[in-house]
Amino acid sequence: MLRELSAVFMAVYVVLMVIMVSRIYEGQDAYEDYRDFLKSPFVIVFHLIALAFALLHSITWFQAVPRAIRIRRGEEFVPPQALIGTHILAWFGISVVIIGIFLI
Amino acid sequence: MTTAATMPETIMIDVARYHPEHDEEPQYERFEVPYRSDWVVLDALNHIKDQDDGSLTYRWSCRMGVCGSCGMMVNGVPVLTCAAFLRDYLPGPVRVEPLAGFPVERDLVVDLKDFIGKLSAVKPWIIREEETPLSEGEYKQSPGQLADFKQFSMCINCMLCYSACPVYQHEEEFVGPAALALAQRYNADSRDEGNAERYPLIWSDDGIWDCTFVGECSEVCPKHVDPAGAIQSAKLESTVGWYTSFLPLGRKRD
Amino acid sequence: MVDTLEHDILIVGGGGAGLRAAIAAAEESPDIDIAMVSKVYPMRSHTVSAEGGAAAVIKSNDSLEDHFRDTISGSDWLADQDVVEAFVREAPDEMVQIERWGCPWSRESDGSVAVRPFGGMSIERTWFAADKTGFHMLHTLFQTSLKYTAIKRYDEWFVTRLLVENGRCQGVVAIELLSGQVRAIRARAVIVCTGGGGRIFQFTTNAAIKTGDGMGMAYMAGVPLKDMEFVQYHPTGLPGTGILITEAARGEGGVLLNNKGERYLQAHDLGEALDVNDERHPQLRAMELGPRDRLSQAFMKEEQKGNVFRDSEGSYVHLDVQHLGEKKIEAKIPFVRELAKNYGGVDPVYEPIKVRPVVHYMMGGIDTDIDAATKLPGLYAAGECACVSLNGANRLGSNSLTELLVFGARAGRNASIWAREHPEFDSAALEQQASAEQERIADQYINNHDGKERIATLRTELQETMEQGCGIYRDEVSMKATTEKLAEIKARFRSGIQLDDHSLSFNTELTSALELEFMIEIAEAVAHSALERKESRGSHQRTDYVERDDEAYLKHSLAVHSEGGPQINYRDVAITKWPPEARVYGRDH
Repeated sequence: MLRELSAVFMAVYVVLMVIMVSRIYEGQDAYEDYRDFLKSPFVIVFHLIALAFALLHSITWFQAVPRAIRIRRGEEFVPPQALIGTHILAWFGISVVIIGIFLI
Repeated sequence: MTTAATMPETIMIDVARYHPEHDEEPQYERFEVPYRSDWVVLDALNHIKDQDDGSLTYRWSCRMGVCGSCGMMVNGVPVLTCAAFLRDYLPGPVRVEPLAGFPVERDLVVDLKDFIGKLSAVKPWIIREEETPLSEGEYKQSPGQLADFKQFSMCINCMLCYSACPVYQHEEEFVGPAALALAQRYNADSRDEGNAERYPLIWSDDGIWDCTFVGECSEVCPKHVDPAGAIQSAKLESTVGWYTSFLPLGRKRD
Repeated sequence: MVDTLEHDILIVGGGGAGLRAAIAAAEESPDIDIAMVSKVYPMRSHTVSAEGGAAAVIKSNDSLEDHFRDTISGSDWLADQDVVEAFVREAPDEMVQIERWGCPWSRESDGSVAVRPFGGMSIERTWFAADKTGFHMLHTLFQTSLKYTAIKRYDEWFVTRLLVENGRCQGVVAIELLSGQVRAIRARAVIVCTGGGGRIFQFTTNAAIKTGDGMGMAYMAGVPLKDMEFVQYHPTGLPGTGILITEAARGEGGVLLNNKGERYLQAHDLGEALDVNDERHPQLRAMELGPRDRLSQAFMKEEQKGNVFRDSEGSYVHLDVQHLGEKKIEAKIPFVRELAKNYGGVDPVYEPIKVRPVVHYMMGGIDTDIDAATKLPGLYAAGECACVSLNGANRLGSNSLTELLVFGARAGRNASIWAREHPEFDSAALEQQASAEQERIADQYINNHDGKERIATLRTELQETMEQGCGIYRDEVSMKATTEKLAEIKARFRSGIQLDDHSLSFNTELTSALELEFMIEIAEAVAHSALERKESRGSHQRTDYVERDDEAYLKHSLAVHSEGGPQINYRDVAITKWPPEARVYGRDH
């Protein structure tokens, strides 16, 4: 059920993102105000919780992969752990690339 | 662990009773039955029916977990009562109710017509464009090809998955876990060529896309069919099918 | 006034035979209108519990002649040889057909169907779907039947009697369980596929629904019950529950051990024990792969010698499959492991399974000919409820699943032809009969508040006396006692059943009473047929007549219903090409 609950936090996070974009559109002052709002302890705690849920959601998502993708070699199926591992590695790799792009 | 010294002599069973001829709402009735460590909940119900109240109404048959008749809610969880041992519910009382999510016909008997209709609707039979004469022998199928669908063929139609499915509880139109897993069983069978005939229903809004992947169906499945997994596989197929439909040689969208 | 429905063909029972018959009828005449009436949803039928497999010649090293000979010697020469010839000939096509319908047979690496050894068979010829063969066959047939719109199902309707008028069976009377309403269903042909009646015994592998209803109603309509004395004890059931541990466990190499750790079957003329690691183990037609009757009898002899284990659930021996290893157990007999763990309290990968003989199958049943027809025109029967004389005095494991396909299909086709040729009904008379039946049910049960006898009490007494008088070994004294006890039970039943439930909706206490009525009838047929057969043959072993007597009893018994109890007549066995010989397993002769 936690996994279902995680959607609520994701949704709130997306709303905050959308608001941020609209503040940027409104101009420097509005954006600065919004950044101050984001720095408040309450919002930081929210983001930490949202991050935890995002991780939970992602990990359980990848754990479900072998149930959706069944790859058979001969008589045996590719072991679930291998499928999960490959997906998590790919996730990690893509995340590093994206972070890299932003840092450069 | 209960030792012989602490083993109770009897256990209380609270049974939901409902008679369509005179009850508005189900009521609970308490029975005291002998406790035996090798008894299952079904044994307790049989004891009640034989000795205490012959009007207690429930379905059962094989008492070995394969006919799928005796699914009920025991302490709020859908189980096969022939496989639910009293020793796991000590000290009691044990609450026995009809499977959740279905109309009740009487006491512990629920109405299966909706499910049977859905079972037929997914066309659970081999569809082929051409049949070869029987004299040519069996269709060849490798052990691997058998493994592609074997798990989904193990469903005993016990309905526990429907009872556990939060979507089915709210949306009666949902085709549901067992029927969708059965569709996947035939779609994944190397001898079958009927996928396209099954897609319109299983890819519809009442089909796989109603499933939010809560996964309770697979949790309660006594035969490890993993209907949730079957539905996920079907979603993947459906998604790939939708995208490839834009390609020049892709499947037609309908 | 009873509502009347009408169909061309009506099938009573939705198990393997009934479904196969329905499909055959639908394919024989596409415009025919078929009704299937069953007291449970079809996928609940007891075919679902069959585990080990279904025999048919498919491999190039096998032959119809060998299947014929195995079946005849398995039957102790009481099978009709023309029937066996037809059976082995039609079996392969029927099996290929159900494969075409999607049955998930276990496979060889080249994609062909895999076969395993089975008791009494001289070669591997048993097709299997791991160890849930019956389950997969039943669901395949049920799901395939859904595509035929000509088949109309009446699920959870209980048939109480056959409608017979003008010398023809013309339908049934049934109770719609949900509403409790009695209805007449007219039909030009009726096929009974209601399974056996193992529930007349206390300790049985049979499901609760196996109460011999169809046998009972045909019997009371004047059709004889044939060879009812032959009741198969399966050698390996779980003590206490009677749950079946399939013969496939032995086919895959499992062995039976007594309390001294001995492969005791070698002391009972079933051959020599080979080491489990010997390449030749398991040997065909020997030791653990001997026929079921001989293995169950060997258990009883060991019990007499004190060579069996005992605990609170009675006596037992060990079935040991540990040497197969976890991988093979999971691949070939996973259900054995599941059942042993859940209901036997042991994991067979690490411990032997406790087993003992248990009532499993009735070789006898409604007397049918090679066309699945009974002597009552318009009435057909197939599956365990019928006795077409394929199994004789002892059925070989894995012949019955194939039997329900071969003779289910024959019944469906022949009933369809009959129905086309006999369109007319004696409607007024049928209506009258249905009304009388409705009144009987009301008077005897629903409106009867004076009954004194509890169903469970009578049923338990019946089961106990059957176990005592008609068990694996029988004698005059105990069988006489059983026939007398049965007469007493019948009289008490007629004096009035005490029902707690006098309502209409889904009255399962009423159906239990109606089932008990049938159980008493067929139990009488079993006991009286057994008492009259003064020889030992196959599953019918008498301590007072220990030899097979072909001179006097190479005959089918025919129990005919009468008010004073069953009348037993006889009919010669059909011998086409193999006259009786000594029945030998585990050695040359």
